Amino acid sequence: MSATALNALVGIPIAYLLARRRFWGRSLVDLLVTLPLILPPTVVGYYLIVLLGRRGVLGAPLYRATGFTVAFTWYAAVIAATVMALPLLVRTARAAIETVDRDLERAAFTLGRSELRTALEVTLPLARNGILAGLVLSFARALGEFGATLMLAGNIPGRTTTVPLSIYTAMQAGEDAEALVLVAVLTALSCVVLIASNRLVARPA
Amino acid sequence: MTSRLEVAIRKQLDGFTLDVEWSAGDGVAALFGPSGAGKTLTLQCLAGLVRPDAGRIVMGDDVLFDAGAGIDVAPQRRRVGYVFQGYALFPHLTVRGNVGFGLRGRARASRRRREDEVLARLGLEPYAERYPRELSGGQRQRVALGRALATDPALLLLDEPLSALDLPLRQALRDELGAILADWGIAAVLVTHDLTEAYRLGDRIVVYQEGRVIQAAPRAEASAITRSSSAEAIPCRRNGGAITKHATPITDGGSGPSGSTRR
Repeated sequence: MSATALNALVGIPIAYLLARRRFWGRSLVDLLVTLPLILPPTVVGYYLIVLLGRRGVLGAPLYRATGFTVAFTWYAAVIAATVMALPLLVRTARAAIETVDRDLERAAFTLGRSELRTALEVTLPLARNGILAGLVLSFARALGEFGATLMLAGNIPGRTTTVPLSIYTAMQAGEDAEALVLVAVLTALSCVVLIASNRLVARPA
Repeated sequence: MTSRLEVAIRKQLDGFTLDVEWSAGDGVAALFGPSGAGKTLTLQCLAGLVRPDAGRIVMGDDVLFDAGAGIDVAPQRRRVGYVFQGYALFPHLTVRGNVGFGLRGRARASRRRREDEVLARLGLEPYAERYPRELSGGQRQRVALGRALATDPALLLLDEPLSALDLPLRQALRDELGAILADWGIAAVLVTHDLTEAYRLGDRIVVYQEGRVIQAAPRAEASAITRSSSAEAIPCRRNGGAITKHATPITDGGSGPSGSTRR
């Protein structure tokens, strides 16, 4: 849930900017946001450790300043899940935003709205279903996150264990029954999420 | 206030150059020409939605754009109402929501009063709580006009306001549009590819072709010239690429085609 909230906070503005603005480094942002979709999760996890680990590019200054490090905490699980799920939200939301008639935005401008107000009052409400579909998809992706989480957050029971990690642990320990329950739950949830997201995309705004 | 409009703009796009110069006074200026001639682009420049490469746009005492002086007033502050092709009504807002959209920032009561006023004047009261998709073409046109007029703009821009309609309805709504424009007494620039529309609604006709103005004259003279197809007698006036300002108001009726008197 936290990953989905963080996703919305980061992903929707990125989707809007990619859809509506032509800025320097735009294709780079597009590339970076999409990469987690095709890279092996362990590779993404590795980059996150390089970036956020105790001796990482951002992690080292943070550790020196506060004595806090992200790796192997609950935050790490959230961040890893967010990064892995971001492409699904950004790509879906961006497609939805691009279908909004630009004349509607121009109309809002001539009626006194700033670009930000126009995005909040016109563009995003009209792209709402696509954005919700993206959120639902990214929620499911975050829930099923395995590789990047394992790398950055570890597998500490009750703290950084995600459902797929529990399944892995249960199988390793020979607790097939527990694994089966978790597998069933995750499969059912994923089905529900896919159906919901398809319905959202199909429905007119 | 005087709403005398002076337009001189140049805008280079991929494979197309808009390079026009014309002026208008009170009343309706009709920009007539085939599609792709740069009429809509001109409207977008007037509204501040597109920034010209060079030139000057003056409305009354306000300089809206002056490339030389680095002036480019934001669309939010131009006091220009825009009726888009296809109307671009906000589908997620009611008729009242659309009409009142530009009134944000006013006190609730004053906003409500103005909405009621505009809705009543355009005969839209029965539809105030309906959504755009529930309206007929004619009602949508009135909502688009109401939304643009509610903020009391100094100039109204109309982009092919009748092109979304079927032919029989089109003629009826053309007359209705003419009546509304006359009733509100607002200066307007109307874009159309329909010659009849240009003559019925325009006090001044500006003829566009391939990004140039080939003729600009009050309705009476424009009519004669278009028929004798001697449009080349009135070339677009430029000065070695630099745009200069020459204006002839709509209200100069009788002084002959503006271009020929300038030569």
